[in-house]
Amino acid sequence: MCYNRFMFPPVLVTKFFIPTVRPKLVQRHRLIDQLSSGGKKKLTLISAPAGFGKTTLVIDWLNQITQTQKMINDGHESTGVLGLPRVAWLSLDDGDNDPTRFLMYLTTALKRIDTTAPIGDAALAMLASAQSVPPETVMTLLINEVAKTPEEIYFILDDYHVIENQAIHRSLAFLLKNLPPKLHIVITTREDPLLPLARLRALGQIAELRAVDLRFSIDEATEFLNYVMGLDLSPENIAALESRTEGWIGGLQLAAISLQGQTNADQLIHAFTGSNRLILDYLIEEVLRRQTQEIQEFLLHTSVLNRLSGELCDHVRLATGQSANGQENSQAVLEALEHANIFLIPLDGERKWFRYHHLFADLLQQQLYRENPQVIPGLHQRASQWFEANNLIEEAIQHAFLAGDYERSALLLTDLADPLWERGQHVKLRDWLAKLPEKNLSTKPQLAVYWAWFLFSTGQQEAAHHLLQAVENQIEDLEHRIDQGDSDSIRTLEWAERSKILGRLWAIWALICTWREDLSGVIQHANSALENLPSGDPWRRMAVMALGDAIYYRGDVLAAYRTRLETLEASLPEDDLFFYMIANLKVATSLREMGKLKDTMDICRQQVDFAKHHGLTNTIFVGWAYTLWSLALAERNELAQALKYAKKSLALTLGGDFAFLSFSYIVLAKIYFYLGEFDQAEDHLKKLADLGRSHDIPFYTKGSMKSWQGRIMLARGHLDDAEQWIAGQDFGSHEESFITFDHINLIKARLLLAREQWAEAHRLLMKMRELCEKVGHTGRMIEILVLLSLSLQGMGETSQALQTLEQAVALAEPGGFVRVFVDEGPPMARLLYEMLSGDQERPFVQHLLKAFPAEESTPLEVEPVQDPEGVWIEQLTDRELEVLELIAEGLTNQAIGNRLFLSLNTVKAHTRNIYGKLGVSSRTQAVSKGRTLGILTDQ
Amino acid sequence: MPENVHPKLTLYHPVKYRIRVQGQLDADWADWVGAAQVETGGEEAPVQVTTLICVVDQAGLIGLLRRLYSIGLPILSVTALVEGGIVL
Repeated sequence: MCYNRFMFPPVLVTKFFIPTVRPKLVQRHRLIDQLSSGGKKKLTLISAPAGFGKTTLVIDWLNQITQTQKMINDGHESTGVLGLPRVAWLSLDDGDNDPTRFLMYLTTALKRIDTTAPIGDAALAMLASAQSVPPETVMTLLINEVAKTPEEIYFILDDYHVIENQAIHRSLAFLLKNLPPKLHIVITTREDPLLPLARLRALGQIAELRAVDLRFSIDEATEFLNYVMGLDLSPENIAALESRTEGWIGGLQLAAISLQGQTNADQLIHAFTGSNRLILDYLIEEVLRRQTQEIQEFLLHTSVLNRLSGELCDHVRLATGQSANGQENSQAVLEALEHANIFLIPLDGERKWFRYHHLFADLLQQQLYRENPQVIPGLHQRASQWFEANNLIEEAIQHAFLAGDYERSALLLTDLADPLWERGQHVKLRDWLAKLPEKNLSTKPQLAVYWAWFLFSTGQQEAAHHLLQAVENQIEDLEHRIDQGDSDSIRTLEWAERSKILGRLWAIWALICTWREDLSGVIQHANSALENLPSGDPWRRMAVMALGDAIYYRGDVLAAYRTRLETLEASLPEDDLFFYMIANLKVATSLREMGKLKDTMDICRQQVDFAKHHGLTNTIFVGWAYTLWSLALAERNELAQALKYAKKSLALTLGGDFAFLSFSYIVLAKIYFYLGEFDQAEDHLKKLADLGRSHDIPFYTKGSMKSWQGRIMLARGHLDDAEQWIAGQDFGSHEESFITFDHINLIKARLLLAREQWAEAHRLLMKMRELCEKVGHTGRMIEILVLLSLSLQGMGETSQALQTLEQAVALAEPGGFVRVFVDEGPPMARLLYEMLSGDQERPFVQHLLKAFPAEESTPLEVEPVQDPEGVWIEQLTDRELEVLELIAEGLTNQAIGNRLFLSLNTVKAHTRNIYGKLGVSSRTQAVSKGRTLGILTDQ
Repeated sequence: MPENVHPKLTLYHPVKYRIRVQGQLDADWADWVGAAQVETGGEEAPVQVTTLICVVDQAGLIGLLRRLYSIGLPILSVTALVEGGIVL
């Protein structure tokens, strides 16, 4: 396990603390029984307004199950089978509306419980080591770890109604859908959460308690008032209170507090039950009226705090002069309030941190708002100062916003922005920036650059561009003023950090240019970014990635390789696991372009292992590794394995970044094309086209998509369609981009060959060859040479054709390129066979010839193809099974085609496929293997 | 057409709503719940009814309903006020 500097970001441990409840409680057997029988379901949902005793009930229930289970265990010590159920608790607050932060707390809550198999290490490592992780990925890691532990786990999410972020709802829905049987989720909330509740209900996977279940019956009200609260009320009075509050526990509790120590209970109850006023409006006044002036003010003024400590309260009360006389006694007040049952809940074992009961805090805040609203900003201001002084910056920012002090919020945020970004709490940072008025944001270049990034990443490129320009102007102004001798400007933060600010600004600018296919713009801005960004700044990654890609698209494979290699050499896995993988896979991409297929596959294999070792198996980057790997396998004609990996890559990239997903579609289309399954290939291109209509996909995948569409038209023999397709392509706008240019020309060359316009094809290919030599794209060069040799052969220049083909073979041999030859069919087989005639000792050429379908390479004895892993046999499709059955019946390919209404080529492709999957090389072997495996019945 | 009048409802235009809740709410709560006007006294005896008038967009409306819920007032009706076929 690799830990890095962000492994343990500060967590508020009070959030994991199961609140203590008073030892005296109303015994709610009916509800506890309901919970115990429902607790075995996936989800227990306790949904009711504030003050219905949700949290108290859950705690009471948990205490009972752990105790009961302990008693059972103590009685059967020898069996040792029953483990004590484990309880993970998470109290949510509105600061948790950031998916990364939410997941970090969720995982930490699980990690803190004591289980046989540890939970959470992999998920925390992932959260710590990458800037933005898909929530489902983290959930998958957690699910796998939880599934390994033998203990029952109850996981309580308290106050879930504060969660408004859709991504969090989705990730929880994902968890529920894939919940390990031993894990049970318990949610308390004031509002029904945005989870698929109807579905869970229909499947019987949810137990629910609602307000109607939770409200106190008359017996429970009696027990509560007379036993728990120590009153001595008559049945009539209790009935009156129960009726007035309609069993609302919060109301009864407020009533009880105002009745404690009063001798005239009858009179008070009469006044309360006779009043029409809002219950809590009435009662809060009653409760407050019974406190001393000092306590009243203490309660009202500290109600603005989400959590309270003696020190914090002392400081906040200074704002109103409450403890200005030096008697700083807040700790004593808090302890007295807790002792008097005044809605105060300890948040730790040491009585350091408390919070008010949420209902009570709400009431106090409303009261304060109505009575004395002008003191509120000052209270938040003081709270913000205290949190800042105690280095609790997030809470300092929250209170600065609540104080309406945007300048202070912005200044505090300037310091916190980098850590939030590096910890992946992007949503939180974005939400805070969104709250800042324009004047406070645009005058803080550090923040403005982050805001520009968020604008860019949500497709608002124009707005991002404008903002970046404004920031650049500010820095220029600053320079100008300093040139004029303005010594104050030299001391500003912006000046001290100008390199970092400008570097980030240009990094974003480079990305905007990539999107716009302005490749020289990318190179210029990425270089400026790299000159300015300090080493170790996470934004360097953005710039180097953009740079390497742009150099490649422009058509310099070797220079792109050097840039990518430098990036890799400068990156350390402990800095950022994901970036390290990206850097490796970018190098692998370059190696593939350079024709080094084996090296490409080695890196992909290493990266998949690396990911596995770090618990990152189910991530989009592993998906990307499989895409590259399958691409190399496909070139080497290891199609069964290539298909397997391409499918894996699709599964991993679905639902993630569209650039990776579109790459997966392209590779799948390519492999199906090689397999002769054109419908399948088209189907995947169509999915990609659909994706491109609803989302932005990178320009280079659009190019690949179109060229494969053209290639399929040609392979189906629809030459006129292909010609129209070429006519519809716009060369002009892609002058800069070698990749797009080349895609179109390859189709054009193939069309000319298909029409036997040999000389024209030859002219075009010679031009392409010249360009490709400069670019250094070996993979592409082999393809061009192969086509060139066919054009020469067509022109009757056999010796030149063979010479050209020799060059192609020489380039192809080290990497093991096979497919590019096989795809050209019988004419290529004949040329290769001719190459052998002079010299029979050419293993690679023999290897190539073996790969042609049987009819095209009959002169050779073919060895059985070994599955590289020797174990795995992919299932045949229904259609392949049909073909295999007809082969077993002894039909020829043509006869099979007639029977199944398939073209001869398609039948051949199916046959190749069957051979590949079964690891055989002849019809007889296929039939015998089919029988051994039981997929063919003996006849 | 005056600026604040719209021919149909949208998610973003503030429009006038009348919300009726069961129970009594003093007028000094108006500010806190975000209503322009709070009047108690309905004709649907025996239940007490409080009528709130507010001008809100949809986000404001949801927030207001939440606040009413948080202080324990069950909702009888929520109506967008329309006059002559035009949302006010």
